[in-house]
Amino acid sequence: MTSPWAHQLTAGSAAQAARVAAAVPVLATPRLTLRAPVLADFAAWAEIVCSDRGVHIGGPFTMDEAWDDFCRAVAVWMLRGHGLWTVTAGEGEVAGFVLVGFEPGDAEPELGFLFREAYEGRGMAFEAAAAARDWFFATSGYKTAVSFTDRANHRSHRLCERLGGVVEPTAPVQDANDRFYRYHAGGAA
Amino acid sequence: MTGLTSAPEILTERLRLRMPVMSDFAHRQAFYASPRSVWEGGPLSTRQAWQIFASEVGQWPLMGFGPFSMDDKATGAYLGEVGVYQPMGYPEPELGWFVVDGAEGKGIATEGARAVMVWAAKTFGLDHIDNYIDPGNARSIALGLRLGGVIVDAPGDDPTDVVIRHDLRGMA
Repeated sequence: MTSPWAHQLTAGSAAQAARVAAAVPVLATPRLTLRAPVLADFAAWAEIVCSDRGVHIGGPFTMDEAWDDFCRAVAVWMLRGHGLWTVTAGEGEVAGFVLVGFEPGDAEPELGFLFREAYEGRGMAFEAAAAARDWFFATSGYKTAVSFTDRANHRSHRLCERLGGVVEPTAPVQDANDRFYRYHAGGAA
Repeated sequence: MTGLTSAPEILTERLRLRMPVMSDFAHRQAFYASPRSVWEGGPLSTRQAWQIFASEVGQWPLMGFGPFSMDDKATGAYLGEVGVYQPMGYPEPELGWFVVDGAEGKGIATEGARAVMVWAAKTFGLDHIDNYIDPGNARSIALGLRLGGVIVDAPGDDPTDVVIRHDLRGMA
């Protein structure tokens, strides 16, 4: 069986996809570009969430689960006007992903980030997430956003705090192991 | 983002086929919460319905096809969905449809599906497209056959699916 992500897009299909994705804003930071995800980026997404690195977000996931999650994260652009960016570095290599998401059960938009192991430890996730946060507050009218992070994911906690996130120990979380951070427009680091 | 103004839109005699928007989800949610969804794996919770709806919508910017929402061209009323779907587990892009409770029996899905078949043939050069339908879903099977499709022995989503194949050659 051929999987959706393994299909070679026809020229017509790729052109249609590009027409829809053209509405996603491109954000540039000193070292990185945030752009609309394309089908080929799924390999990097799967590398992250199907590995042990996915454990902090409920994984590791199967390729099928990862595909549906990837599509859902991208769909938020069409449904809510914010969503998932692919973050590229250097000559366009995929470094990771930044998401402003919103799903049923969420109380407010959520800022998330997933980076490949090879791109960790260089402040890239911070650089990309800060750009996404700033764009979101500047364009959406929302005054707050949140992050849910696994209590054991200390690297992620440091990033949330650097982004201006404040822990709210009593805030409701869907997973009892999650730590809740809230960001405020204008209050960012 | 100000809107998907460059995204595909199809007009038919009675329908406007357009990109899905958030408010369309309420209709899918109601469908999945109702007994009508029994042939689509339902009834399903809001979260489960969202998982399906959003993963299908997200195919548009990744693969260039996905669900069109169908509006009544004259009134703007939402009538359902028709499109080309390839969620996980589907061997090929599939032709699918959904019509709200009050819009059944009026040829809405037929009209929308015909337009999507022509669009798919022209845009992607597909020579065929299949429906994957639960064998108990007599209404959808009848519609697939009425559209000119033939039942073939090919893989679907589920091993028991009725697979109806539509020849798109000559539609482009």
